[in-house]
Amino acid sequence: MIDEFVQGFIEEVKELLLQLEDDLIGLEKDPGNLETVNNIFRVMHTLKGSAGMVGFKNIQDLTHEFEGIYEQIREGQRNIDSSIVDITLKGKDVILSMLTGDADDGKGQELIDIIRKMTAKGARGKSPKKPKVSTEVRVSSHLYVILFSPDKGVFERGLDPDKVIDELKAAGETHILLHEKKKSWEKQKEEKVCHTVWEIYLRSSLAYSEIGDIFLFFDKDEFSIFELSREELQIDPFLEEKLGKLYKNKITPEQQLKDCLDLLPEQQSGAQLPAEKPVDSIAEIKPVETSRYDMEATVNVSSHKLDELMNLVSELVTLTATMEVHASRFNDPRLSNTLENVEKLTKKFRNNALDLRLVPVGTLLSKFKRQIRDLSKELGKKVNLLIEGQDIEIDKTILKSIESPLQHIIRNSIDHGLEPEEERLSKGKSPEGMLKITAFYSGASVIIQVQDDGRGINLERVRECAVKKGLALADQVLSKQELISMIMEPGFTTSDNISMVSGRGVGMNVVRKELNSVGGGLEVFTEKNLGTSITMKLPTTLTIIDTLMIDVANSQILIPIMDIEYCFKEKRQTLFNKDNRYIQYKNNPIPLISLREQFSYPASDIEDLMVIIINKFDRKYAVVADLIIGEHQAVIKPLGDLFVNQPFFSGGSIMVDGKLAFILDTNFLFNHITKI
Amino acid sequence: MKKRIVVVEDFNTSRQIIKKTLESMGHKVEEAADGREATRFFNGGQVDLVITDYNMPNMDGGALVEYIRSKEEYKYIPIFMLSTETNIEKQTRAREAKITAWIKKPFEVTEFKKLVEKVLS
Repeated sequence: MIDEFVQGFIEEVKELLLQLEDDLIGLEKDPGNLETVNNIFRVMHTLKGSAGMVGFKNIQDLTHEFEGIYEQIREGQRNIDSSIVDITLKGKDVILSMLTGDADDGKGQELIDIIRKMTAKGARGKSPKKPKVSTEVRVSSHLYVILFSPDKGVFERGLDPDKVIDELKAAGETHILLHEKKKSWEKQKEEKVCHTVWEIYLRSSLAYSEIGDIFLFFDKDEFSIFELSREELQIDPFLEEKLGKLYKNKITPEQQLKDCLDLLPEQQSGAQLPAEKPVDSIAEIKPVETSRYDMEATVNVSSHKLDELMNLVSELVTLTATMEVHASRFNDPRLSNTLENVEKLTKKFRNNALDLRLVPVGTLLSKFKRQIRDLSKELGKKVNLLIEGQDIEIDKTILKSIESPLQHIIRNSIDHGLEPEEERLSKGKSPEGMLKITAFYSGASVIIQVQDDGRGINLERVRECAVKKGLALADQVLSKQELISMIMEPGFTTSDNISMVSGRGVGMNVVRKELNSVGGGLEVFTEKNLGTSITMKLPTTLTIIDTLMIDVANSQILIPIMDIEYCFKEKRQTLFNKDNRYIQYKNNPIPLISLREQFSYPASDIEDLMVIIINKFDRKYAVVADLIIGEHQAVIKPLGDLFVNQPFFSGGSIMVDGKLAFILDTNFLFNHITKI
Repeated sequence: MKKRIVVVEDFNTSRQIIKKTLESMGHKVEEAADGREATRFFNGGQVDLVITDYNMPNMDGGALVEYIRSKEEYKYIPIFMLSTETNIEKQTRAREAKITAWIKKPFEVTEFKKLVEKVLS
């Protein structure tokens, strides 16, 4: 019975642990942040509670100890120092290994002993007065959302709603929204008929019951008070973002108004609130908010199931296309109409299924935060890590496949790129090295950029090594870009001594290979003493891409649409009448590749050929095809082992007639051609 | 600030307790033994609060409230209604009764003071 929960538990805990790691690293930077301490405490608390239920007694025991230590911090009996962060990080690792079952219990017990010593010391070290003082000083504030909709005859009861509002204002910090209906509140007050509903956001140190007392003379259906706990705020990042501002009191009234309005369920906002039925509107509020929490929650699905879904969707896409071909023979408008709808639905279904696979880049990047912290400690370099675009979404498989390339790049940056503190100071740089990871969309692809402000790649050394390795001649003139591409050659390294951290520098070659395998590419820019920027361009999704189908000597070839810039018709004579293989495009000569020639087909005798301008990483080149067939939604199938060493194709796709079409590897092709 | 409060109650002991309590809070108290007697206070004079019993001879609390609310200048003054009524059905909602609040007899003095203070604040 319990076993069926274990897998889910493990997945959930893994996520919790990632978040924990994030918090810990944040805590190290900002040790005074009580909210982070609370977060960590809560994670430990949750783990303790749930681990016991599914039979992870060891996790339960360990987290119990951690809970204790963070309790002390919360109570102000202990300060955060790096030893606590260190031991918690260690604890996180141990918990992770406990999850997978390959931890020996000794490790856990070891940690428990250390923590017990720490907590005992902390308890002894505290002065008896101190915690009392700190609890008195730290008045906890509550955040209330109050809806106040007095009956229209409220004045005849000798009551004035404004008095309530004044009392609330006196109770703390408020933000009040008036839903006045047709007449202004002032006018209503004059006429002694109340149609106004107040919506009050109140931050106050008063307890719930004390707030209730303010409404003493009002009936239960005339007001409702909700207290938002911090937990609730954190469950819903959306709410947290909006209300967190109210918490921090750093926000202008106008912004508050806007934010609070945004917070409301749609029918509640604006002046159209039905004042005749205040009872109903109040009753609605809470369920709406709770259901939003539910919506925000994620469901963990094993990637196996997702893959299966993707496979099925892929088949469906292919089948629909086949069906269309067959149906076109009948010329039946009803059939084609229905089919059109099926196609639309399939496309929606496909997009939805694809979305399921998308995960924010941040899930990977937060893993690196820890590594970067450890690495910078190990190397004694101060690293200021900046991460942008964590929300950018990308296919889970792709994200997984770039994990180790990205790791390589980051390690390279810290180990080789960023200088030690003294060197930086002597260069007039800030003592802290900057490492910036940026993710953003560019067309259909996702770009992940790693920039550092270190010493840059030493191109003179690259040249020396290239000559030594026989990759270049001693007197050969090499452009900067050519030199940079050298570092991506197999076995290339400039480092004399092998560093523990980044290995032997086989990295960049492996990085490029791995990126190519998922249809991505790599680009490196470097400037001496200014730094290095490494750009990875990745497709957002792997399994289905939009392609352009072309024909070359009766074989069908697919080119990813995202790589195509332009297509045009050109006379064969004009294209191939000269010796050089270049074509003028937008006043620049760009390389021209005849696919017939590449694939060893006889030269074409067709007069009008199609030129397709391919733009990969701003490097443009033209390929010549016999004709363009049309767009094709390609479900990518990997090519077998037999085809691993060919440079032209990255995969295949089954066509509607059951034949196979190859997908042109635009990246490899370019490298292949320019090498010749 | 000193307020003028009209207390309407047929049972003298109760009226005196209420009077003492209100006076101890620094307010001026006008007394009436039933609703009809109380009407004389609503002829233009200042009244800040009415505390009235419900079951009274001659004119009961409900009728008194009707009377007060029919007068333009007293239409919106606060009124507390005292009641021993435990039957919920009989005790209409304050909203329908056009009163500020029901106060159940016997009342607790501090609780009573709190209500008065609040309504006069």
